[in-house]
Amino acid sequence: MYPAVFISTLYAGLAEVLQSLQGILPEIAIAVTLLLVVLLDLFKIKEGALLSFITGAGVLAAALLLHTQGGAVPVAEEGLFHGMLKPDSLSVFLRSLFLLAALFSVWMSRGRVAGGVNISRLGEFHTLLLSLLLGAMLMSMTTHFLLIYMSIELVSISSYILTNFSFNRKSAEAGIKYLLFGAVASAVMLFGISLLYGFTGALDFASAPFHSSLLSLSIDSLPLLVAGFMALAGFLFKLSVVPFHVWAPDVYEGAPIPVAAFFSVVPKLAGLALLIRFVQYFHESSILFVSVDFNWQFILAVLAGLSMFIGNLAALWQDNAKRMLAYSSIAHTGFLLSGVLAYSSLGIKSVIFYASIYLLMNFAAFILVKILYGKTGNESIRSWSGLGKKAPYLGAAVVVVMIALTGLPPTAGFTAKLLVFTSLWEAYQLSGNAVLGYLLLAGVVNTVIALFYYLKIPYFMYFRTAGNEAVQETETTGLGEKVLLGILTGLLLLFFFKADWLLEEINLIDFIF
Amino acid sequence: MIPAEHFLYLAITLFCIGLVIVITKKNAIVVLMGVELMLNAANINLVAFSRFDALHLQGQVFSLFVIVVAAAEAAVALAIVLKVYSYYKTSELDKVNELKG
Repeated sequence: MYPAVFISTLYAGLAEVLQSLQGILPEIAIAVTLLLVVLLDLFKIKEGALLSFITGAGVLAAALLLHTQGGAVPVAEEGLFHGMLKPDSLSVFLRSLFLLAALFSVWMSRGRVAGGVNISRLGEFHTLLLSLLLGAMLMSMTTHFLLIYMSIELVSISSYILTNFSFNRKSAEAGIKYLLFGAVASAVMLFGISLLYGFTGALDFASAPFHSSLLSLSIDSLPLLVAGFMALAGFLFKLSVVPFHVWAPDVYEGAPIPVAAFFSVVPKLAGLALLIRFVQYFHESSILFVSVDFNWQFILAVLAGLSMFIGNLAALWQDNAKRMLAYSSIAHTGFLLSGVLAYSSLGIKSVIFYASIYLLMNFAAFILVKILYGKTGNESIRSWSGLGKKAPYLGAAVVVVMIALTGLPPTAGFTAKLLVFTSLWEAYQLSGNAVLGYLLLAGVVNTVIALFYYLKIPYFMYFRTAGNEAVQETETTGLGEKVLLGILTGLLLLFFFKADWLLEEINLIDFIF
Repeated sequence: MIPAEHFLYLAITLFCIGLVIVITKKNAIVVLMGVELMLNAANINLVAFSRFDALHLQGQVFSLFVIVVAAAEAAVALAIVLKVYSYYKTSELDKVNELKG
């Protein structure tokens, strides 16, 4: 016989869980879809179209639930599940981006060749895509170290397997490299977390006990900084910031095209969400990084600058389009990071804007790679010579997307870069921190460097003629793919002229700053 | 009662041994063993520190999660190593180097 107190606590706990479950309906929808796909796979239903349809429908349902809720869930002050999850407006926006990206990836993996995904494994492919999505969605709404670790691992383990889905030599090699780098990064992060737990006795870095015990701590700032940066290593790995970027080019080259497109956006933005929150809360309490005789902004700024330079300079020498896009995504990470360390509400808003545009242009670029790959059976940029004249629609789309990736008008890529630069300039004016000035300069220089390799693709497509070797079409491009490409390209142009449409949405997000 | 620092020394030593193994060893499976040491170093820390968190014991619960996740990761890792072995006939990481640039 249990004591009555125990029973009543139990009931209170169960009530809390039931109440909290209503706050994560989108995640539940994704989990249910995942189980459904597993079941279908179990019963040997290998119909690619059916699997895509069910996955797409599940993602759409989640999006619908997310927006009917729209943050209107009565969220308790401490969050859902005793403060484990905090579905605030930032996470609502990011989760909609993730769902959109998942929809694009599912769309790209249709067709006879399924963008390089082994056709007999489509069931497992969709399962893993959904579990990666689920992990990313959880990552975007937590400040609790336990859930951060679990969701990062959910994303990582799904990614390791998805990398292997081309089932060839290259993708196996990419898989093992990704796995080893990822495992070490998460072990380092975990050690950092365990030290922070030791210093504070709390696991939620947004909670009051965490901050008050940091404030009352009577030790050197050095161990704290080491622990803080070790914990950051895990987030920076997901973001592929420079010292943790070595996996990205190999993984993008080895993974199937829809998977590479998904990797380049979703885990990166989820890591960004964690970084934004981590930096925000530490700034708010002004302990770890600001008050000590150590300038954290300096380190992050150096990493951002290095990401831009190393990403762009390495991209100059690439001939494989996917590898080039990997280096380009490392460079874009530098821009995202510089918006975060501008350390203002404008900075975060510009980062969110940049992230949304980055999603559109990166997916457009990967769809282009997929279509061109289907036309030539080759991912080498040289092999696409002369295609611009044969397929004028594709040629025009390539020009627009590459101009957007470079960051020139009249595309939204320009608006996004402009916003990030503005926030950096403002932060520089306010703080007079010379590093921010140099970072701004690095950003401008890198936009020029980027011009050379992005425009290489249109250059080969228009100004070089194809060699004599017979080009075999491996896949006839479906109409759906071209329509999606058209929509993405159109949006990139639209958001240049009507940037305020997107900015209004972003302004609805409330920040701590 | 063993003082808390001793656990910390043990954890840091284990972590460093693991890191050195990861950096120097060439066989994929040995590298995974190094990672396992690093994860368990963190576990020791978590369990030792949860002594000061007697009300919630969050550290101990955390370490349980870590153990489970590490097992899942090892399973995936060994599957991928097998895949690599079937293509390259080796698990030496130096010889798995076709992606470059």
